[in-house]
Amino acid sequence: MGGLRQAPFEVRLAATLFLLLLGIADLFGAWEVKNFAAFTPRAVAATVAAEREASPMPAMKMAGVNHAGMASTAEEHVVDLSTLDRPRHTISRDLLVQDTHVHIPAYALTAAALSLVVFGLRLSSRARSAVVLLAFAAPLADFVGLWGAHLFPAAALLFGTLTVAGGFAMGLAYLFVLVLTLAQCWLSRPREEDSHA
Amino acid sequence: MRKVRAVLLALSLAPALPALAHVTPNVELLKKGEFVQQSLPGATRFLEQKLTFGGGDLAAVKKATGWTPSEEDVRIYVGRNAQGERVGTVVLLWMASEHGPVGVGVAFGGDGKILRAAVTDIGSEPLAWVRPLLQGDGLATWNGLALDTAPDAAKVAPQVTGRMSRYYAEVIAQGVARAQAVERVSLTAAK
Repeated sequence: MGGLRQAPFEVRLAATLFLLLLGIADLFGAWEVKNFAAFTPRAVAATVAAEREASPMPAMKMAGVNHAGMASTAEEHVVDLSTLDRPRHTISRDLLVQDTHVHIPAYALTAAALSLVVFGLRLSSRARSAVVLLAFAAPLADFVGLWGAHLFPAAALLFGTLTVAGGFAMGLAYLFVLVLTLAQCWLSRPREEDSHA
Repeated sequence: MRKVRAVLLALSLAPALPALAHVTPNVELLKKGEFVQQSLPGATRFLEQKLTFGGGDLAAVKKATGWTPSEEDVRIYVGRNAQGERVGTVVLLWMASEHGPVGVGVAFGGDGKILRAAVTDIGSEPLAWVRPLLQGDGLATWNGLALDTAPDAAKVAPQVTGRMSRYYAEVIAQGVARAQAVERVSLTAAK
């Protein structure tokens, strides 16, 4: 515990490169968000909860179902075909299941890797525990928020806020580990330790 | 040093962003507006039709396709000529599949025969399996299919033998069958 600062050069290099590579992945993630923006609790709520059976196509729900025995009816109104391709990104339950299946393992592995780096940092046990908890709880909050917004549309804004908070908590955990790793491994190493490395 | 700090800050905040989206991007293969317009060249006006299913029609659709329309998103666009006659319909619907979504569009003539079937959108993962089916206009095999004739998935690009491609041929065929079922109700309801 806490030995990363005194670790051999290659160990510190691996920890640092892991964090920087993770940062590159995150930058591309940010690019993806730019393409499929959902930056606010309200937008997250709308993305997940607005259309529970949502498709990637702008939806036109069937108007409804008549009681048994009644004939089907149709209403028509003029449509501007150029509006058909307006992008609208929603997440249906099927997609949410798929996203949960894909993201959760990646988040778990990332949190585990961050925790390993945290174990090597010079921190109190309490601080280490807090960061480890943050690293694992943040993605959980993120997905609890997404599922909550999807399952309980009435509270979608609240759950959207939880998702946003979870996302930024992940960023906070990463920032904390990155800054401390750079500081302890490269910027504030005692000279005598450098000579032993 | 200030620049370094800014980069570090950007790097550290970036992980939060993808968490807010979680959108698996889909690939748009066809502009739906263009698909509707090109498929119904005789139409001068386009109308969106909203169907309210009668109990009997709903049961018939479910019996024919195993699908209840109200559970899915379907869009129906009717093309009419200058005299107000119905020249055709385009049904756009969404098929969920194991590896991602498939958007299916089917254009019907005034007599209910298929004018054209297409995949309009698809998840990035199944694209690799669906693309071979679409090359050489594989779905054209269903052009002219009568409304009461089920689309045969085996006839779509039979030279493509990959297991996953054949699975997606079935998914697309199911989508076309659903569109036919909706079109049947649409034609009846509009009379």
